[in-house]
Formats: sequence, structure tokens, C-alpha cells
Amino acid sequence: MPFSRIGISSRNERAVWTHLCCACCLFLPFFVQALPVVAQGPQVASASAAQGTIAWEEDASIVSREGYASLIWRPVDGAIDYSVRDQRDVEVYQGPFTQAFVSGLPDGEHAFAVIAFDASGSEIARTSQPKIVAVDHWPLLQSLVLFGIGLVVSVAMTVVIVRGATSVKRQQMNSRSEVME
Amino acid sequence: MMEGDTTILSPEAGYGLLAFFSILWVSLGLWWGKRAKSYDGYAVAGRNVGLALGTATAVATWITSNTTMLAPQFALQLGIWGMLAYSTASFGLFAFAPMSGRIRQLMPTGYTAVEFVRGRYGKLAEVPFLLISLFYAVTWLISMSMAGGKLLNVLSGIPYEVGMSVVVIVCVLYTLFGGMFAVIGTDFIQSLIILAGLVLVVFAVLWQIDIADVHENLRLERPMLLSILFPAALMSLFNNMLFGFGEIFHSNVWWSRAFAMREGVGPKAYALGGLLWLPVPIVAGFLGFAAPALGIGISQPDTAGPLVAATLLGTGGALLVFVVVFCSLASSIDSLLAATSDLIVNDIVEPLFFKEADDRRKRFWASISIVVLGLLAWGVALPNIGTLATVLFFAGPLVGSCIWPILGGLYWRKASPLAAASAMAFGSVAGLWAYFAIGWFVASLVGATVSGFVFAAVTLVAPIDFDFSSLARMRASDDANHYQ
Repeated sequence: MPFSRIGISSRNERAVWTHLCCACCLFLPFFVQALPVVAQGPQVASASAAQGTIAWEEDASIVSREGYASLIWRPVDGAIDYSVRDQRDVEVYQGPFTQAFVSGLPDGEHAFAVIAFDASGSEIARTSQPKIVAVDHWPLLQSLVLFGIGLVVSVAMTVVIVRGATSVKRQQMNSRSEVME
Repeated sequence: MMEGDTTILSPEAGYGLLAFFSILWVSLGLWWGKRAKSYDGYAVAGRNVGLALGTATAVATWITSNTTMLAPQFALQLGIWGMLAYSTASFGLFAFAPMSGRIRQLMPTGYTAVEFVRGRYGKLAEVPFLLISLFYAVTWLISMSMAGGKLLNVLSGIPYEVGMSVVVIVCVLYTLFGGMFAVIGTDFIQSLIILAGLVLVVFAVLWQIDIADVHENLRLERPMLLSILFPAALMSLFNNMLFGFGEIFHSNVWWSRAFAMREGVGPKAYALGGLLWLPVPIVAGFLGFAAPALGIGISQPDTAGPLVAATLLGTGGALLVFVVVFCSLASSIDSLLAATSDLIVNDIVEPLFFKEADDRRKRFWASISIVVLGLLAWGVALPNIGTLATVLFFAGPLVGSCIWPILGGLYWRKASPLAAASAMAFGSVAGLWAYFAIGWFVASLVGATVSGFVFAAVTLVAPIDFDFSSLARMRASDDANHYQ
């Protein structure tokens, strides 16, 4: 909870809204290539808050072959803190930003929900539908083959450098001894 | 933009530190600049850099803001293997150690890596190599500039545009005034600050975190991060190592230092630099693992390291992180500016516009290049588009495809221009295909592997007999055909 400790406990709603907008402006562009973001206006967030639900930035499930994903949701008016929980109700993120990074997920479907809290710590909204992250890791055989290729290439490179350096040293010693003779 | 009350350091403190270090680096640049009386002094620090400065500059340049940001990101994304994968970048320094001695021996009056490729292989390989070198240098420069803006914003709330602009302007100014003397001199101070800061962070983190708790949290909540059979992580291990090899082998940042170091110093300095660098990503990566155990919510994986360190260490830690980050940014940006300006002067301006430019003219063009590069980086970084990893790893397959042409060019007489050019072309295309078809974590691996096969096959089919001594005569005899 780094941001709670350093004082995002402002009770001024306007200031909080500014924080959230600024955070979005700062962070969302980073993920333009990874997760296309749909443009939104503030009225969308207000509508969501009025219904007490949080909308995901994109409705579709996330498919991950690496076991990690970024969950992005739309800001809620009046919310200063968000909590992301998995299907076991274990909290995987808590903070002021409208994005959470989850990783280390094994194969299978993982469901995540977001809950928004106001300055007094009361729940003001939550997602109506969980975000599904479907993890299907790359085949182990493919990974091991590429690991093996990388090992062979790296060893070959090392051999070339060591042999090259040794042979250069030998040549230098030979030429030095020729000069001395 | 973020505001002061949501950050780990107040904007006032951030501006204060920024001003102090900006004045320090620019003053040192002016002071060291007085020593750069000739172009040799300006571009390669008089070719007389000793072991301490040589080691420090290798360490400082290789500890970029990406080390402090991407190493924790790798750990968070790819687990233990990811953390180890990032640390394998130090093997590039170990591998380059003997190569730097060979480079100094073959080209005692050289300036750039492209100059070597031109002399060794001719125009056929020079053109793709120059394009790859420029693409990589500019990409790295832009990603560093962006990282500067983002980190200063995340840490202290200084607006992205302001932080990024200050970092770029300060680095341009002191590199402009002091050339390689200023770059290596400031690198020495920056490496001491970075290493001292990281040691303090390690002790503070180990003091406050129970490693068993971190392990237990990961085992329960993020089990794949501890898995030895994590497929993407397994693929990334050698990919990152080869990316590091490619970056160091081809980049003029490292070649210019090999030329700048006194004879016999390069191999020792690079090996020592690698040893000092090796634990840095492991320390930074551990911060990524600690985040979930500490309940620190991570929105952006590349900000996990600074956030964890600053959260654990309070205001003092935040100040420390800020200084370390600023030093690691400056030490990489200045090196890139200096090395890339050498490349522009010696491999584009001089061959195209002047047959033999004198010192005064080369120094003038070096200054122009530094300013133009700074403006370019600033202009592209300003809109703040793309993730750090995406921008940087796009260059991975390209630099991976340069490994074998450089290695073969340094040690094999039979390596031909056709082999080098086709290896770079096929390696780059295959690597880029893998980047899009599979992911960034296999791009350099595929690029280097395909490039190696092509290089070996073409060399076997059409070998030449190159006279290595011709490289030393290159500057005197202009760029005639050095290969037979």
C-alpha cells in the first residue's frame, strides 16, 4: 500500500478525481501496444459510479501465454482506492490506479473482480462481471528446444572467443620471440 | 500528471535534487572539457583511460534505468528465470573483455565499430550494420529519455515533460562541453553513487523482508514465478543473454570505450565491470518479488523496483532511489550521445562530405551531432508512446544478428563481406518474425541463431583471405578495398 502510506487520503473529491485522471494519463499510454485502450469521457465513469458498478476497459477475456496480464478498468467518481481480488477472494492488488498487473498464473481460467472504496473506506462500486484471464502456457517442448538452441549458440560463441583470444595471444608471443631472436 | 501527494517524494525535493545534480554534471563537463584539446581527446579521451575509470564507465553505462526498472519487471513477469535472464547481460561484458583487446590491437587509431565493419567487410556489410547501429542507438536513447521522464514523475511528481527535458538537456550539455572525458569522468562518480545506493538498498531490504515470507507468498499466489519449467521464462534466458551479447558486440558505446582505454586495460576493465554488474539485476529483481509479499499494488511492472525500495526505506530511501535513477539515466544517455556522435562524424559526415576532415571540423560536427541527437530523442520521447520493454526489445533481433559478423570479423580470416551482410539480413528478418509470431522473449535468440547459420554457411561456400594488418593502416590509406 505505498500510496496510502504517502498520503492519498485527501477527502476532496475533486482532488481525488484529478489524481485518478492524472494517473490514467500517465499510465494508460504505456500499454497502447500491449492492450489497446478505448477512449472514454468522464460521463462514462459517473454513470458507472451511479449504478455502483465498475466497467472493465474491455469486455473480452484476456488470453495469456506467459501467465501475466494487465487488468484495466474505468475510474469511478469518488473512489480513492481499488482492490482487485481473484476467485478465492485473495487480494492481488490494492492502490489508487485503475490498472493492476497480475503474474505467475498457472494454466487455466482465472477470474478477477475490482472493488472501489471512497475516502472513508466504504465500498462504493464493484465489477458486475469478473475479468477472465485464460492462461495457456507455451508448450514445454518448444521452450526446451529453444532453451537448448540458445545454450548451443552461447557455448559456440564462447568457444570462438576463447579460441580466438588464445590464438591471438600465441601469435603475439611468437612475434615477440622472433623479434628477440 | 501525478501530483506531489501521490508520490514517494515531494516535487520540491525532486526539483532540488534535479537542480543539484544538473549543475554538478554540467560544471564537471565544462571542467573536463578543458582537457579535450584535440578530436582524439574529445572522442576517445586521448586513448589513455586507466583501469579504475575504465571499469567504472563499463559498470555505469551498463546500469541503465532499464536495469532498475526492467529487472524487477522481468522477475515479476518471468520469475526466477527472468531475474537470472536479466543478469546474464553481464556475460556480454565478460565476452567483450578479450574482444576489446583485439579491437585495440587491430585498430590502434580507430573510433567506431562501423569503421571496423567498413574496413573488414567493405560497403556491402557496412550499410546494414550502420543502419542497425543507428536504429539501436536512437531507440536506446529515446527509451532512456522516456524512462527519465516517467521515473522522475513516478518518484517525485515532476511532470513527465519537465523531467524528460531536464535529463536530456543536462546530458547534452555536459557531453557537448566535455566529450568523452566528461562522459567517463561523470561515469566514475555515477557508478560509485549507483553501487553505494544499491548496497544500501540491499541491506535495508534484507533487514525488513523475510525471504521465507516472500517465497511462501510467491508459492501460494504466483506459483509459476518459482517454477523451473516456466515455458516463456525458459525461452527468455538465452534470449536475454544473446540480446546482451548483441548490444555490446555491435554498439559503438562499447567500442568507443575500447578505443579510449590504454593498451592492455580493456580486457581487465570489461571483466571487472561484468563482475560488478552481475549482482545488480538480481538485487533489483528481488525487489520485484518482494512487491506482492509486501502487499504493494503494482500497476506497471516496470515501476515495481523503485516503488518497493522507496516504500521500504521511507523518505531517505526515496531520495536514494531518485539519485540512483538519475545517475543511471545520465550515465547511459551521455555514453550514447558521445558514441553515436562519433559514429555520425566518422561514418557518415566524414566519408560522405570530407575526404580527410581536420580536428577542428570533426569537433564541430561532433557538437552538431550531439545537439541533433538530443533534439531527436527529446522530440520522439515527448508524446510518451509505447512501453519501455516493447521499444527496447524491438531492437533485439537486429543486434542479435550482428553477433557473428563481429565475432567472425575479429577472429576469422575467411569471413567474407557476403557472409556478414547476409547473416545480418537473414538474422534480422527471422528475429523480427519470431518477435511477432511468438514474442519478444525469443526474438534475439532466433536472430542470433539464424544469423550464425547463414554466416557459417556462406563463409564455408565463399571464403576470403583477409589481411588483418590492413585494419591498422586504414586511416592512413583511406578506405580502399581491404578485403581480397
